[in-house]
Amino acid sequence: MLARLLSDVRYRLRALFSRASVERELDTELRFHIEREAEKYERQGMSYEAALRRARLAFGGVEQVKEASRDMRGIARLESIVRDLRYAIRSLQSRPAFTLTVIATLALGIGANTAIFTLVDALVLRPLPVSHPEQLVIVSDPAEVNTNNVGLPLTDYVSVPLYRDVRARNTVFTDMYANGAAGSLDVQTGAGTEATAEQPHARFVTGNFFSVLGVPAYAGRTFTAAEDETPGEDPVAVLTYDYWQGRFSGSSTVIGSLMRVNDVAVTIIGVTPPGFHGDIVGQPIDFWLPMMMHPAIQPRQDRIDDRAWSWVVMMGRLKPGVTLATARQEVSAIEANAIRDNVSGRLLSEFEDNLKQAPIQVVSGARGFSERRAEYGKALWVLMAAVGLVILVVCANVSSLMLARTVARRREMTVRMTLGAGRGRLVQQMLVEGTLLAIVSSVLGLFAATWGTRVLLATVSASSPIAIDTTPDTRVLAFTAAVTLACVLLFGLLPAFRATHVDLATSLRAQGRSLMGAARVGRIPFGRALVVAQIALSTLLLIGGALLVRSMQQLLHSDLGVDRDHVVAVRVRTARSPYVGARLAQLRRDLAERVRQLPGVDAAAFADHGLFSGGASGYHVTVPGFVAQADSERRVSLDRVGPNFFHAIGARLSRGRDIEPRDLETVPPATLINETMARRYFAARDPLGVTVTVDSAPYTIVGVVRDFQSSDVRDKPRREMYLAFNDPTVGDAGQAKLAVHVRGDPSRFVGPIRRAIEDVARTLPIFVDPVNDRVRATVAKDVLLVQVTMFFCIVTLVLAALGLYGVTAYSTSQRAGELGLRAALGAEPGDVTRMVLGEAVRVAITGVVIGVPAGLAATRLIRAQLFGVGTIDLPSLSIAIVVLVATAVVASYLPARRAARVGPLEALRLE
Amino acid sequence: MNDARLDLPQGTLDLLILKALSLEPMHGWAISERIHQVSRETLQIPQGSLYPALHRLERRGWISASWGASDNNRRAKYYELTRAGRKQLEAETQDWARLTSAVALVLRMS
Repeated sequence: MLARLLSDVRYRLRALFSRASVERELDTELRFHIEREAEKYERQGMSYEAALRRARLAFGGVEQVKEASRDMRGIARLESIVRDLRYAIRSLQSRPAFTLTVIATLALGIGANTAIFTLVDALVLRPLPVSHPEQLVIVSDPAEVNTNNVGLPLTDYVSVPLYRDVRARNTVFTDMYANGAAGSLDVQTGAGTEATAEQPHARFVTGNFFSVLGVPAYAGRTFTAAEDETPGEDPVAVLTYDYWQGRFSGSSTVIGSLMRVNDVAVTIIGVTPPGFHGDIVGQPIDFWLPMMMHPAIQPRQDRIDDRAWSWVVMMGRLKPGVTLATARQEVSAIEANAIRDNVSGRLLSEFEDNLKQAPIQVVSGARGFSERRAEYGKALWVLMAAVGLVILVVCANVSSLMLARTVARRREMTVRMTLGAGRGRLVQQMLVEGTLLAIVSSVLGLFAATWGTRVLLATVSASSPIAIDTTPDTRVLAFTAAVTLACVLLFGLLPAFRATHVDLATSLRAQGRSLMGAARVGRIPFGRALVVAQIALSTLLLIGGALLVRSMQQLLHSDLGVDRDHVVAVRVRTARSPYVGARLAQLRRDLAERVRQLPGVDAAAFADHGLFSGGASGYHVTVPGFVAQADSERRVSLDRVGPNFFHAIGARLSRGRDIEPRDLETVPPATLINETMARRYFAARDPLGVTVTVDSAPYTIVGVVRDFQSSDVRDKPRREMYLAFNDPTVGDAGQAKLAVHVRGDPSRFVGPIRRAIEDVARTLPIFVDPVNDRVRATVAKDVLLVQVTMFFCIVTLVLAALGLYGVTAYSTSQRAGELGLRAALGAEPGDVTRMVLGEAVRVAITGVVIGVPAGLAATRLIRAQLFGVGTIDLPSLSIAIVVLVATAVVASYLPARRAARVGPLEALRLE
Repeated sequence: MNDARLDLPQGTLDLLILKALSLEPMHGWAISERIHQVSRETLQIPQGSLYPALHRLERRGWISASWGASDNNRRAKYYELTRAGRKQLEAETQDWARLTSAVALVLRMS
């Protein structure tokens, strides 16, 4: 069977590629036959000539036999395709402008789709490059890889003791590991004067990290289990291939050498294979340290034995035959029990409450952890939909270009069909041409996509580093191929059938009389329909784009409830400095005092978290006269603030007063609450003067502040409390933060404030930013999404304009006779221009009328991405419509002007 | 010359060619002559279908072709039965025998 197939293929290949010699052989063979036949007749007594004639007659038509033999070779179809291919190349070469336009348009569309799909693939679809990724299971929230919390045991990310319990008791995994953020690390490599300092990305992982994932060492070795047993005893590190190459030029002597991590000497023991970027997708990683090195490298906190510190995520590898569902059931129960064994009282009931609301997450780990996936995943799908529409427009455009061409070739088609060419043959010929265009474009598109993804990633990475592998894999290539195929079908097949659908008699007759007859042909209603479709799609995209732009403006300029344009946020890192406890509290007061003295500064106040500086704490509050139905009703967000904080941030007080210097001494301490909290707990009662309890400490309410956003523009107002920051033992011990209210442009104050702070604390790292910059950073992702969408909107609009231009230009050139006749009958050039323009605008308006409802329906899909605008937004709707109609006028103005210049004589000469 | 020629039933041409070639390698003309003679001049292979059939059989791998010198020292294309062709010939011969005996049975029906 196989041998037969091989012989078949060999035979056909020879027939195809050595066509000439095969033909020659056939010729020789047939001639030989005829000669032998003639010899036979000669032997019977005929003359040579008579014998030859007789032999030829007996043989029949040599050409027919040849043709039949050729058919037997089974390559007739293939041969005709090769012929069509040659023809297509010639015909495309002869019209470079057309060919380049089509290829550029298609490459753009295919490239954009491939670029976005590459990101979707890398971030959302691609499995980890480890052995049997499908066996991996995450027992955590896959996005909570950089979070930590001290307090009640959590399950989205867990404490190291809890990991040990779950690992020891688990029944479903062959093994499981834990992985936690390393926090900030200062790394020095080299020695003496050549030492360089840097802040690479590292993670603490348990010793079995590499063995569970099944990642071998590329050079050196990975961790052993023994290297992760005694705290602080095994200072070793495994590097990623990229870090090894980039930082150490891939030198093999690096293995066994030392680097200093937070002043601890660590031995580099190995390198992971190229292509392995850790188990966290989208996050850069340079090296891994054993979990047990945490106490030595981050000595401030005991995160190894404290059950209150939740900071690691867990991944397990399923035992053979165990399903994810079974694992979920068993491991959740094991983890919950492990927590129950170690907490009691209020914490236990709170844990049970939380567990009821949010069960322990046990999900497939095949694609790894990813903070970015949760962050960008949805936005990427929106983009995917947008570029999907772009490719439709591209196809419509190319389709109408091809159609315009085929209409021009209608006479050729008609003649060929009259001469008996099958419709199938003609369709095949045009499909071959389309496929050729699509393949060339998709190769170009693939290159454009690789470049485009890099640019896109570089743009995002400007605000936060994002590292994903964007080398196109088979999935991306398959996707591109599928898109290309879809394009061929969309833009190749349609015009092909359309063009060969020729009524021979009418068509031949029409060719002769283009003065009136061509007017009908020239109007190409089908091409016009395509333009209407394009404009409808552009409308849809523009409506979405305009909405996103408005939403972005809202995000960038919305009223946060604070004076965002005149506040500067200051952060001073005090970790690893002598400023602790009372000295840190004094530092905060000194800094605020010093900055307040600067000219142009209205107010400066210290705070624990402050405005857009990261951090928030959740606490439970007890309010007299308010009976909570559930524990969650008592939860409030809490910040600790210094005197004049609300003045410093420009928030508006609706009742009472700001924190004052004397509040730092009074007992019980003062607190302000926001309006949301006042409404929830006090309703119509007066909150002023009421004493509430937070963590069993009493606080007296002295004021109510209007709601303001302090960390995320998109947040709904939460219940918030602002305690007088009088206790030096609470709050973030690692930093001191200030909010400074200035008169005038805040960026002018960055330098003076920095210098003022250096006067007080010279050696500490200082960060000074206008609050508005911080706000912008929190919406950087939205801005990026809007920019990319706008780019595609513009591309689509340009394409639609090109389409309209093409169709109008083509139809006016076809109607030159008619227009000339009109001119001869006394039409003014203005009338002709108006007529042509009017037709184009009618086409545009038809498109808009179809596009608007479609756009309104589609914007529901991006509701989640919107901020501060409804899905039906009149301003963005009108912007979209005006832009489109204006584009239509511009696109058709040139052809309309040209049409008006056609004189009667010129038109007649064209006949 | 016997003019009472028979038209070849559908599908028998391949069988005849394979059988003819099973004796020795031959060129196209010789095949048609051999069949003509052996069938006592009853079967005349239509020239127009001989060569397409040879090409078809070659594509299927049942016969292979090579160029050699003919008896009067001219270049001729010789066809030869391959091993697959020999198997095919056996199978087709059996089929043919079964078919003819079955047809004969039916015709003998009274």
